[in-house]
Amino acid sequence: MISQDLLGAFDRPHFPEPGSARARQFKEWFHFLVMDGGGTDLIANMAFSGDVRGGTGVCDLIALGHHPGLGWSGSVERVDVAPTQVKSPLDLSVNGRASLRFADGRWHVSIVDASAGIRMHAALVPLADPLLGSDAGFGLGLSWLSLPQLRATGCYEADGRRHEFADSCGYHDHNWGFFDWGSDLGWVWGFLSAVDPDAAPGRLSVVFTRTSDRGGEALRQTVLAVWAGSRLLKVFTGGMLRSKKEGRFTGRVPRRPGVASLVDTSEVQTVPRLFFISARDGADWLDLEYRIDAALQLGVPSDFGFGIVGLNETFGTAQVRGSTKGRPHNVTTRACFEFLA
Amino acid sequence: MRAPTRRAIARVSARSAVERTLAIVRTESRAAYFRVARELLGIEIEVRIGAEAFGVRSSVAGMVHVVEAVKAPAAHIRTSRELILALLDGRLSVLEAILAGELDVRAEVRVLERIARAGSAFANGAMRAAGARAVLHDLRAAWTRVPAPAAAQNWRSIM
Repeated sequence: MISQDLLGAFDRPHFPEPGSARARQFKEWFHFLVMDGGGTDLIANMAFSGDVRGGTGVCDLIALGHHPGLGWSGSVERVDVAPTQVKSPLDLSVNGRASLRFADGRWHVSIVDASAGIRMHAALVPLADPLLGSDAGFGLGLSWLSLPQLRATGCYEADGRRHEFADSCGYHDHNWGFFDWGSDLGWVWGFLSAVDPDAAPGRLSVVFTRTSDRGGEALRQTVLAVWAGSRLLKVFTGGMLRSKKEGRFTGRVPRRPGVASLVDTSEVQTVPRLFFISARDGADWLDLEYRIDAALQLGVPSDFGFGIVGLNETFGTAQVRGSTKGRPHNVTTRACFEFLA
Repeated sequence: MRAPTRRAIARVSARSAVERTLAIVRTESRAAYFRVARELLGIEIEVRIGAEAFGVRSSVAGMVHVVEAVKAPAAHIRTSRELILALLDGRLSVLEAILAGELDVRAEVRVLERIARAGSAFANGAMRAAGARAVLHDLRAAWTRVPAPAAAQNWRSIM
């Protein structure tokens, strides 16, 4: 597994030079998931946009939780980035509301929206090889780092309740590049990690990413990565992969921030009921069926004037069957997928 | 614009919040502000939020005015502070609020369409304006009641 010092150096901000010509289009986010076997799933995200170093950028602080019995909770808050401190390769603080640093071999994430009563604190230890990728060759300016299988400990407070978690399953990805919200861009991204009773000791972890045009018809890049324990076992790409949405999720899909529902008062209709992935490469194969049971839409202001772009965050159950590098896979587990509508 | 003091937060009214947000949107999201003014031109709206009552109209000069009262309202909006916060926090949609009887909007159909577009433009502007977030914080501080804790597996109440 990659050394933690090297990981901390890779996972650093890429803010453009102040006043640079493309700074307006710059986007960078640090995304974390905690999928607690006790039923509460958490999303933490710090998303920077614009001329961050030049003092005119913003940061969206996202701290969301979902519990089957309680539904969605949390906060999506946009703050000015002018006072953001960038102290070392990964040691960020935002207006005293949020902080992210890599130290002691782990990420320390903290997001607080005091006026909404939301607090999220987590320490996440990496346990697997990272995957690095780039869409630069496909007409986009996005690069990314993805790390499944983190061990997460921390707490989440919302709506007068406190949820504590220890040694829970975590995930991290980091994306950066130049694009406009509202451009002809779409994506599907997904993650799962589970103990696989049919395989050798260790967890089965899967990360999927598919970039396309806005309608999802013209595919740009598709990747399915499989980890066995800490080791990246197999990467399926391009023509090895087929994927499709089916049906429409009919549960309630709230929008966050709340004001986004006042910009677009229509019901969210763009979350599928099922998502299928099929991977084939010689003797290696994997089939995944994902059934959504919870969804929330993040409303992101379009960079082309009025309106919002809907980013659908979902949780559900994934069934995985297959065999890679001679290891059989047969698991059903909690998963998280994101759909850019 | 300076943040209000604690005493001022305690006196936050719906009217002052609307006025303050309009001023912020006019400065930070001018296109949204002028769209609101254009949609409301020639329309007077009577607004009742809890015990508060005020009026909203726009002028040919492209300004949106919040006034003590309007003489000939073409639309009437009635709701509560609790519902305003629920909408702003996304806990209820506009449709859910109307169906639950928590939000009452009465006007001719064509006026309703213009109010809906004005509301969307206003929300667009507020969403993009950094200063508007301070207004939301002050509303929450002034209007939020302590939520009743509910039993839930793996959660414990801290209030």
